[in-house]
Amino acid sequence: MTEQILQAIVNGILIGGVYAVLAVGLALVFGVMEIVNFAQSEFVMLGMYIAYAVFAAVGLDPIAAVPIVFLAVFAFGAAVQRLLIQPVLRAPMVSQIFLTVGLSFVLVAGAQLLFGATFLSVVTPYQTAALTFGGLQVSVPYLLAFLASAVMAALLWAFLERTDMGRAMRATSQNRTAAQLMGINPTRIYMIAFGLGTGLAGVAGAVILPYAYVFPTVGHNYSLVMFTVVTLGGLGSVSGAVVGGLVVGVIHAVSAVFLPTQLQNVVVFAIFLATLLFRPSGLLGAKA
Amino acid sequence: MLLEVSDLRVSYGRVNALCGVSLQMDRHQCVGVLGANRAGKTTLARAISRLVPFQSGDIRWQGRSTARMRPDEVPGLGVAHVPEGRQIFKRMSVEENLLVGALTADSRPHRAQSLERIYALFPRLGERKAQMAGTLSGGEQQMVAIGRALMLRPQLLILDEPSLGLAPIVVQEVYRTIAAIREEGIAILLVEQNVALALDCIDRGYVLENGCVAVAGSAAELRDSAAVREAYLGL
Repeated sequence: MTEQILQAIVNGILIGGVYAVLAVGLALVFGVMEIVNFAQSEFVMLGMYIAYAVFAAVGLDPIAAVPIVFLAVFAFGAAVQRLLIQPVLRAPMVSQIFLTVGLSFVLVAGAQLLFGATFLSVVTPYQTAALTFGGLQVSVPYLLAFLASAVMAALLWAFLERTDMGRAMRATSQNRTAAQLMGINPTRIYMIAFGLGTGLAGVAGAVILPYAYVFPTVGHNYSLVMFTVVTLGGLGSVSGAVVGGLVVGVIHAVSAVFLPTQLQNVVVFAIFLATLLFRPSGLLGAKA
Repeated sequence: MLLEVSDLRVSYGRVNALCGVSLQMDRHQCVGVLGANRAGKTTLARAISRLVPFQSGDIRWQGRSTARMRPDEVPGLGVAHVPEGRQIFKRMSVEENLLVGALTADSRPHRAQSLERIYALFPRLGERKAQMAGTLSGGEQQMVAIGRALMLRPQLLILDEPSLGLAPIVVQEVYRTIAAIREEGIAILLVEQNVALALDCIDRGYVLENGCVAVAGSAAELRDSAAVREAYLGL
């Protein structure tokens, strides 16, 4: 039993790393421009399809394709922000919700049109490989997805903390008017932040492709987890999203030891509701 | 002429905030915008920084109109604005606040020297450079705001109520700093409701009342003006 739980914790951390990258994008976008992107999980789907298309065309491994996927989704996300989100930034929140929810429908329908409704997957040499440490098994595709996510998170941290653009982004999120007085163009920052946020979701999609099927509505599988993670971490808190991702990943995996798989999402729902009830500003108590 | 504001009209909806204000300032000058609360002083400062649109009139920087500029383009001209209420980045360190002040093409290459200069001007900021800016005292936050603006290496520094909400001893310190900044040859537009305080530091001043210039003149002329003495100096 202990071994089973330990195994579940390891699996949970590996999956949680991916959840973290997924949710970080959402948190970043909310933190900078106070928009909740309900289409975020559709950008995961988009990243999966791009990685799949690259794999199908030139046989490149989805993990190796991460830079391509990131750039492609970043560019698409930045364009979406400039053309669709920017015009509603000052509109009532209801309009913003309708816009991003509508965008998610369009993306799902677009994927159906382009790729059909079939389940697609890639074949990698390490698909079923696993490393064994003592009695613990570490699945290679899950490990690679985790490592790629960790690298992405570290790069994002370095960008936000160590570059002029990252500082300008944090400055804009803290005080937009003061940032303008420093010569920072908020419109440009919003475009880059949204591109980054969606690009990260796309990367999460690429790194899970070696162990997950892609189909037009695959994003739905991740939206509940993603919103739980950001709520837990404090909406708008990037570090909170990382912690929240790991916590939800572990709880998700450990609950599977005790409960039938069908009830796994019920546990996630319970965490989501409990957070909203008892710690609405998130685990770390960070106020957005 | 460094800055020329001519017949500027600003209204918020049906409320007239500025009713045709004109103001001129030369290089190296310290010019005061004085008057009571809600007289339109902050609106004038924000109009110069293009944070509020104006209905008519013009603002010229070294002869060139800035009417069509966005607020984030103004710092590139060499105009730094310390807004009312300081508006520092509270969840960033002191040093990060300063670094964000030097993002324009002209100021970025001199960022290391500028940092040294600010720490020499405000030794206390040097001691606390790693501290979260939001945890500093009011006076220290004002120093961060002024230091951040100086990082731009501005030709004009707009100071909006730099003494507001500070203890008298801290106010003196802020004003000593303003005098030191003047010595460096930076032109200053000082928005201040404490007229007596401002008169000691400005070359010329404009007294605003209900959005219009009520009195304008040199510091000595304002001090001698019966209207100013009665309404603002309590003499």
